[in-house]
Amino acid sequence: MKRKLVILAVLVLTFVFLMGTGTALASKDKEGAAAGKAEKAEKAEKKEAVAEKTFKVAYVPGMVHTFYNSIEWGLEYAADALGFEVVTQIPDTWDAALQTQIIDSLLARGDIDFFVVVPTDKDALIEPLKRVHDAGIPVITVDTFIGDGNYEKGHPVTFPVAYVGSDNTEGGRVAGEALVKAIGGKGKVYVQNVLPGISTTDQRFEGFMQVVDKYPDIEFVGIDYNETDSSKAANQTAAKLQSEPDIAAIFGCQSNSAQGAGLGVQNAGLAGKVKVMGYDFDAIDKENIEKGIYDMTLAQKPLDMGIYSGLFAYAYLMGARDLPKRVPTGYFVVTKDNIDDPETLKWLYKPEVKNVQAAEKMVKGDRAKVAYVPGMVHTFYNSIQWGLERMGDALGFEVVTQIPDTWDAALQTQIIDSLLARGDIDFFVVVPTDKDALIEPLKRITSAGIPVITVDTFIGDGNYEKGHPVTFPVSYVGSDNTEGGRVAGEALVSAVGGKGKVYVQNVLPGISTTDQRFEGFMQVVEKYPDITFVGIDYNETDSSKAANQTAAKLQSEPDIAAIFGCQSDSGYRTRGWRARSR
Amino acid sequence: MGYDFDAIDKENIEKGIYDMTLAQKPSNMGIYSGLFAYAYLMGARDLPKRVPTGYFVVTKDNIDDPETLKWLYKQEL
Repeated sequence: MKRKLVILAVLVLTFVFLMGTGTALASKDKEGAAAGKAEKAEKAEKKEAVAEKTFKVAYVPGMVHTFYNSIEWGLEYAADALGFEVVTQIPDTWDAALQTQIIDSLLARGDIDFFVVVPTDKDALIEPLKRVHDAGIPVITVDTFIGDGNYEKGHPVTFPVAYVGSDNTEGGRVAGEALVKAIGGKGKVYVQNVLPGISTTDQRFEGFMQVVDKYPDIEFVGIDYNETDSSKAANQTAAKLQSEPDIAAIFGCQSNSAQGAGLGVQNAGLAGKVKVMGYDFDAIDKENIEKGIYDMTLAQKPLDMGIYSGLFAYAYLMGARDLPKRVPTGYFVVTKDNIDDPETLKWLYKPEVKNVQAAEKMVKGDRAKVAYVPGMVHTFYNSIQWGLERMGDALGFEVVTQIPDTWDAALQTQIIDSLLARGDIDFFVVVPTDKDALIEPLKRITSAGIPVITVDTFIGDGNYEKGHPVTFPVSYVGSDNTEGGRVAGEALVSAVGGKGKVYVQNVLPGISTTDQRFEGFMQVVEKYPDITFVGIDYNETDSSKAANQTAAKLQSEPDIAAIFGCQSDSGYRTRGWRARSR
Repeated sequence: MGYDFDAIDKENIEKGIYDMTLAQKPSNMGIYSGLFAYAYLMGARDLPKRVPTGYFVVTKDNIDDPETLKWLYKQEL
C-alpha cells in the first residue's frame, strides 16, 4: 500500500510539472503512466522474489598479488552493502591453462551467478569465458580484457558485460604531467621499460610521450628495456647517466623499472638530482619512496575496480541491462610529500583481504526515493533521467524528477528547497546550474542528512576528493571535456588522413568546458607534425557570426582541411555554458 | 566536427552541414548516478568520487547503426 501511494505521489508531481510546460506531452504521459501501473506492481513483486536469493559472484584474479587483493576488497565491500556473496579462487601463478581449470571447476559447481575475471591472456581466455557465457552466466573482465577489450563493437568478442580497469595511455599521461611539473617544465627525460610489445607498458610509454611532445623544453633522450630485471635496469640507467649526465627525470613504466632506475641514479651519486617516477603503489613502492630510491609513483585504483565490478554484477543480476561496457578507473599521484596522508594511504594496495564492512544502511535501498533535478528541459537531461529510471526499475527505487523551466540558479534552488521540505526524499541527483550559487542549497541537503550526487556539472572545482571549497557530494558523474577534445581531435585528424590545416570555432574564452575541449583538441594537433593549426575564432554562441568568421577564414586560408566546432549550435548549451562560466 | 548528438545534430550530419559529431553519454550518467545512489543508501560509502562517462564519435557512415542511435539524446522518456 505504501508503495502504491508513493507511485501516485510521483504521478501527481509529474503531471503537475508537465501541466506547466506542455499539455500535449502531459496527457500522453498520464495515459502511459496509468497503463504502466499494473506492470510496475508486478515488476516489484518479481523483484522481491529475486531479492530473496543470495547471489554468488565468483572472482578469479590473475595471481596472488596485493593489486588483486585490493580488487577483492572492493568486491567484498560492495557485497557487504548489497548483500551478495563473493567466491574467490586465485591461481598460484599467472598461467592461462591454470586459470582456465579454475574457471571450469567453478562453472561445474552450478551455483555461481556471475563471474568477475582478470583474464591472464587476451586470446587463450576467450573460449573458457565463452563457456561461462554460453551457460547463461554473465562475465565482467577486470584489470585486463579479452579480444581487443572493446565490448561495444570490437573484435573478436563483445559478450562480456563490461571491462573495468585503468586506461594505460591515460596513466602514462598523468605520470608524464606529474614528472614534467616536478622538474619545472624543462630538462632531459629518460624511460625505463620492460620489453617492447606488451600492450599495457607500451601504452604507458605512449601516453608519457604525448606529454613530452607537448613541452618544447622537455627533451626525450631514450628508452631502455630491462626485461623486468631491476639490476639490469640499474646498469642501463648508470650507463645512460654517463653519456647524458644532465638527465632531469626518469619514468619507470612499472615497479622493477622504477626501482632499477632509482638504484642506478643512486649508484651514479645523483640521488636527489634526478627525479624518478614509478608505476603502482604497494608496500615496496612505499618503502622505495620513503628511502628515496624513487620520488613519486602512480597509484592505480584497484579498490574502485572491485567496487564497480561488484555494483555492476549486482545491478545486472537484478535486471539492469544497459550498463556501460567500459569503465575506466583513475589514478592518484603519490609523492614524498603526501605519502602519509589518509587520502594517499587509501590507495595503497592491500597486503591482505580483511573482513570488510559497509557503513550502516540509511534506508532500505529498494524503497528509496531519489530526486533528480536537471538544469533545464533538454534531450540531454532526458537521457540522464532515462538512465536513472532504468536503475530505479532494476533496483526498485523511485525517481522523483523536477525540471526548472530555464537554466537559472535561483529557480533551481527553489525546486531543491521545496523537494527538501517534503521530507521524504532519500537521495538527490542534481545538475548544478552554477558552480558557486548551488553550493549553499546542496549543503542544506547534506546538512539534513541526505546525500547528493552532481551529474553533468559540478560545484566548487569539481574535485570532491581533495578540492576546494567543498568535497561533500558523494560523487561527480560526467564527461571529461579535455578527453572529449582529444577524442574529437583524433577523429578529425583521422578523417583528413593525418595532414592539413585545422581551424577551430569556439564560443567565448574563459568558459571551463569549451576551453578544456579546445585544450584536448590541441594536444592531438601538436602530436601530428603534418597537421597545422591556423587559428581559433569566438562566435559568442551566434551561429551566423560563426558562419561569417568561417567564410572569412576560408578566404585567407582556402586549403583548410578540417574545422572543430567546440559545441553545437542547438542553443540550449549556449545558456548552460554561459551560466557555468559565471 | 561538432559536439553533442541530439535530433538537430543528426539532421545536420544527414544534410551534410557537418560531417561528424561527438556524442556524450548522458544515459550512462544516469545509470551511474542511480547505481551509486542505491549502493550508498544500502551502506556503501567509499564510492569513487569522480566518474567520467566517455564519448562516441558519430559520422555519416555510422549514423544509422543501432550502436550509434543508442547514444542519440532522448526526445522523450
